[in-house]
Amino acid sequence: MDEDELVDYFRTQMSEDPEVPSAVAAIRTLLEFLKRDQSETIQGLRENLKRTIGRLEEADSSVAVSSGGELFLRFISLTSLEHPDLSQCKKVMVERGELFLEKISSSRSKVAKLCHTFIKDGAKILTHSSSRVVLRVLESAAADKKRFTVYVTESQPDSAGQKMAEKLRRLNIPVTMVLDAAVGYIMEKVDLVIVGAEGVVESGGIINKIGTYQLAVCSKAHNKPFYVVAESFKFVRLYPLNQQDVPDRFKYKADTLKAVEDLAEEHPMIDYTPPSLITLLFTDLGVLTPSAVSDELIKLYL
Amino acid sequence: MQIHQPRKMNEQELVEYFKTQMRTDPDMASAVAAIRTLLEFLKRDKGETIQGLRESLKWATRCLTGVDSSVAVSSGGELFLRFISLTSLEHQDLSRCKKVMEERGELFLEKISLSRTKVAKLCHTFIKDGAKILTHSYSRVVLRVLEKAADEKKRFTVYVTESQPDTAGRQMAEALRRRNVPVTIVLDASVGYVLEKVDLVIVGAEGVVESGGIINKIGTYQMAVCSKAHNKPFYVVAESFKFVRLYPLNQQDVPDRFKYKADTLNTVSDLSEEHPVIDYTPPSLITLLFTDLGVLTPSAVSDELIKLYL
Repeated sequence: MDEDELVDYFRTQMSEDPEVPSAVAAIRTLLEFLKRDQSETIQGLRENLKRTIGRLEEADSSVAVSSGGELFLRFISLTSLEHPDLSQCKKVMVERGELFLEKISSSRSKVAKLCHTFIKDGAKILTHSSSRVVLRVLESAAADKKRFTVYVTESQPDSAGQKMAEKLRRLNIPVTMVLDAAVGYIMEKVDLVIVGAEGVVESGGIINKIGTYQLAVCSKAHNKPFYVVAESFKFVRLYPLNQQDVPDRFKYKADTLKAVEDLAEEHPMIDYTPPSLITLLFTDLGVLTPSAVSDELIKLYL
Repeated sequence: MQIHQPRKMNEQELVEYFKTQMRTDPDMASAVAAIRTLLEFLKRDKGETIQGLRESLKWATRCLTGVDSSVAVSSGGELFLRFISLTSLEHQDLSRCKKVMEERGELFLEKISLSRTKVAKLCHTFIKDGAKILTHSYSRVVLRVLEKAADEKKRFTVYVTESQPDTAGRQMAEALRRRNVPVTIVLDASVGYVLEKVDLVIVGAEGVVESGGIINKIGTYQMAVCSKAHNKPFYVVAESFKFVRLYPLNQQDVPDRFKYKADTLNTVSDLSEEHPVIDYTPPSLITLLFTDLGVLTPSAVSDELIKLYL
């Protein structure tokens, strides 16, 4: 499979099922690549996979593609690959790859099952931008016959909040869209804040759509719980200490990175929220406090 | 020979005069335009008693707040009324009382027309060379402060928020670019992101309340919370006619008539669907207020307010 086929396959996966996380589509692509790969050695195979991951990152610069790809690679190489025959090793790797894919495809439901119990009847929830995980959580809560109202931020520059509001209206959940600037204003009215994450970092902090950080600061100021919902393949080996530490390749969309020279003029798409502002993280590995995240990360990546 | 006296202004003429004032000088504060209108109204008024005069002026202020619902028009009007009534109006002749009131009105107008310059003179010294400043939306007072600092040959860069829903931040950025000040527009959502880079935050105010807090364009409150979290000084620049007799304890306490634009209030029935255009920032988040009465801490504001309104 050459590079163009790769990117095409990836994009086809994304367009066929808009609900699929970009990381899952990336992992499907990697699995396909693995099946068709013609290398003669394990080392060669790993090199090719790493290169492929790099290529996919260029196509879609979200943190989850990067972390998902790396986790996939580690997971499949975890077995003792001591078979004399290369094709047998490959067979084992492909099997493990399928297993990994199966596990993560069900992760969103696991998260939703854990989180929706924290939404009490009559709750007012604030969320940021458009997150499919948060949507799934709210769907489960609505299916459980809970009554709640949702405030969603408009989330410039792409107004992703409008999509979220639409989807929630279709579920008959009362939803109000608020300006990004109105977050401090309505914080006193809400009971809890739930956001998704594009990536979860080693410190237990998260990387998410721009505006999440000030949402977290305001919740802390008003003593409202700030919950994060994220699948485990979003755990990434980064340790930013402030906003500047997040690598540029995640901060901007892939097209912007390629097209624009002076990144200082562009609006960054994401920001970093430190762990001190997060109450709990709901993942398919369980309900974690931010400090427990690094333990889980070590277990994942070992 | 009949001397043609200008007749008493009715509501329509009042509003017309006010709008004309705003049009002829877009740089003028809306409160100053309102006070000019009230002065003109006073000159043409035909009341027979002082009480009647005061009632008419109150009515005129209400009309003007119906046109422009900003806090400053309301507070400016009230302060004008108090200032002109402050003298002992013990003359026998009503026309002489009126004359005194008019003189004091002109004096008041003169004082407040200079207030923006006074504020700028006080504040620009707090901007050090090489400073990075964050400001919110479009404020003519902040613009004047930054212009003064630029005139003093200070080098600084400005980040201004775009400030939805009317993207007023772009106007501010344009005005600053014309003065050759390096300026970057940031999203309202990027305030937390950009705060670690800046040295200080300067905002204007639409109104200053009794507690020392301010009412300003929506988004100011979260800017203040984030600056506190990052330990950056949060400065407010406001003229003294913006001091208003309100004591909100939270966002809900701000009266609806200030929260939405006048057109919205007149046309829309269900206000809960509208975006509010202002929010309230409590005094605990404000470092200093620069006014034409001096540089005040938030706790000093209520003292000054008492002196103004007494």
